[in-house]
Amino acid sequence: MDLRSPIMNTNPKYKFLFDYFIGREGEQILDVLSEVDLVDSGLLDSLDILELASLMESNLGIKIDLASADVFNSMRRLNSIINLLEK
Amino acid sequence: MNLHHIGIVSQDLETALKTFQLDESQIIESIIDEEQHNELFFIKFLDSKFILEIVVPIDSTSTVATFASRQKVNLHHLAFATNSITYATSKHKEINGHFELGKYQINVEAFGGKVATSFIYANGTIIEYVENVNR
Repeated sequence: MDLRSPIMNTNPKYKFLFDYFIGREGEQILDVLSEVDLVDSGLLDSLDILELASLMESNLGIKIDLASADVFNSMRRLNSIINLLEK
Repeated sequence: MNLHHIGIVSQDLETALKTFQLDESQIIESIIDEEQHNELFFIKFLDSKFILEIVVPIDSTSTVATFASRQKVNLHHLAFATNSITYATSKHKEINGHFELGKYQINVEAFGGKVATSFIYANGTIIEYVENVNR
């Protein structure tokens, strides 16, 4: 997945997501973001997942059911977060 | 709805006491919360009904382990007394950026006995609702 492709960066939902990680880690994070487990790699911890989900709800107007273990686990991978954004 | 207490999370008791210039003699109760894997210390102030709760994680599975690891010692939550945590928490479910973190029951003499609690993550702030279930 090329996270720098125009298609990715013209979608406001994806751009919001990428900007969150770029703001924390710098532009180079896009090189690995789609390949790693965000928790195991240390990019996110449980508080970060809450923060990110909260920002997604507030900024993108979507609802995320973090009480669901499946949804919470979806926050560990970029691809599955993108799937949440598309629901 | 009234303010019930303020919760501080600290990596250990000593750090919290030193940070807030508290004395161990001000601790009126301490509890091991086996459900959330925390040790709770309740501080009472002279001439005040206000109670400060210091939450210290017991192990890495504690509900506040990440917070304590990251913050060392810091304000963790504001707790409000309510007659119905069900009603209080339901108001948050429709708000974007608010999530219910968990519901618990615990006996705390400093809080008047058995209480039901619910924690809400509200856009970065953690709110606890406390309902006395002895009534």
